[in-house]
Amino acid sequence: MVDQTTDARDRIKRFIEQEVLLGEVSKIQNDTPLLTGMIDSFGLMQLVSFLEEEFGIEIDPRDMTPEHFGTVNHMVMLVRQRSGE
Amino acid sequence: MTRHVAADAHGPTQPLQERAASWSTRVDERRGIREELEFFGPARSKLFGCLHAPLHRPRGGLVVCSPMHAEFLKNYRREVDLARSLAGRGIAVQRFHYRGTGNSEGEEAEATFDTMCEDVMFAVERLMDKADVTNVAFLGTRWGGLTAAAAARHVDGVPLALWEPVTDPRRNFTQIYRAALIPELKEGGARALEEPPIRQLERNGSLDILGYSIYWSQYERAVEQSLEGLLGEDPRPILFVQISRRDELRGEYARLQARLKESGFSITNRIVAGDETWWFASEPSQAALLSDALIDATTQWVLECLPGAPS
Repeated sequence: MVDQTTDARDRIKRFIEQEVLLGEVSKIQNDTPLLTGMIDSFGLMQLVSFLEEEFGIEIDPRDMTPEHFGTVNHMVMLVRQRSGE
Repeated sequence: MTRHVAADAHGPTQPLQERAASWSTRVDERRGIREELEFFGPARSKLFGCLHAPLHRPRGGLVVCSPMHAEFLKNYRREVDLARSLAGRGIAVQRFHYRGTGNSEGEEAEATFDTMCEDVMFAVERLMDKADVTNVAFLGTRWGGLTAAAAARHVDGVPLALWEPVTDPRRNFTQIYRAALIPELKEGGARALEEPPIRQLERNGSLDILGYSIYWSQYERAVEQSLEGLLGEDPRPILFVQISRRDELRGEYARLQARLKESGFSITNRIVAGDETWWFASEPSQAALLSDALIDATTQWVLECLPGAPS
């Protein structure tokens, strides 16, 4: 059985690579900084919508901080918090 | 060939002020339609509207309920294109601007969810009266889905087309507010918010978000509502259009539709390929593609739903 955190990481990375970066960056790491030039504003909006839909969570405006969106690891933590894990 | 008809119905002897245009008509003979711009509705705050009608007597009508703020502008051309598409196929279409917005009279700060719903009903009356139709349908986009649903309850069984409707007004505000925080987040300096933004809106009366003033008056009554509640339990045909890259219905729509189907609603889904955040930003080329698919799907559905409409 796949670990839930690993699964969430893979789903988020796949979305970023395929849908946000459109395959222009082949591989991102769990700790790759995303906010410093990697993802633009439109991509961030896509990402927020994706996290809500994919994981059935609601992201409060108060969650919109680099501590939650800076890297894939940060987003996984946010998903876990909002899922009540 | 296109003709413009001056608003000189009162004749040349009328004083200029009286002759000032309260309406203006454009006839597009190639499409077989005419378009009439005018102000109508409540005495204190006239609504700006445009009727798109076939040159012959229409078989039915559609009222367009627009979204608000940035979405209003992003969707504007699609509404015009849909109106022309339908008018060319025998359906009269009434577009309008809510009071206090666009070209309509009144102050935006005074507009409430209730006045917006009233404005929809003024538009329905105007369409029925001017185009001489009795069978109508509604189109609502985003926030306009809520006002269209509220108005549709006044007309038994009226078909309702919904483009990316807002299902929860409170969540819609959160979404808009979040979008405004993106630039700060990108710069790594997003500020910590001390209270939920909806409370800030209530306390301040208005907030400037993405260059638009958002007023508590618009949300005050709306946050008590939901699309499901506004749709009620009287079955009617509904077209849901979702814009997304995935071909799977979004969770909020799937859950809503499951409940509507239990009440006997007839649901049609169309998923148009495009970015889910089209209302936040979209490139012109992509918007054009979206527009064609939206208009084709909606035109076809309206023609099938309105009795007597030619196919």
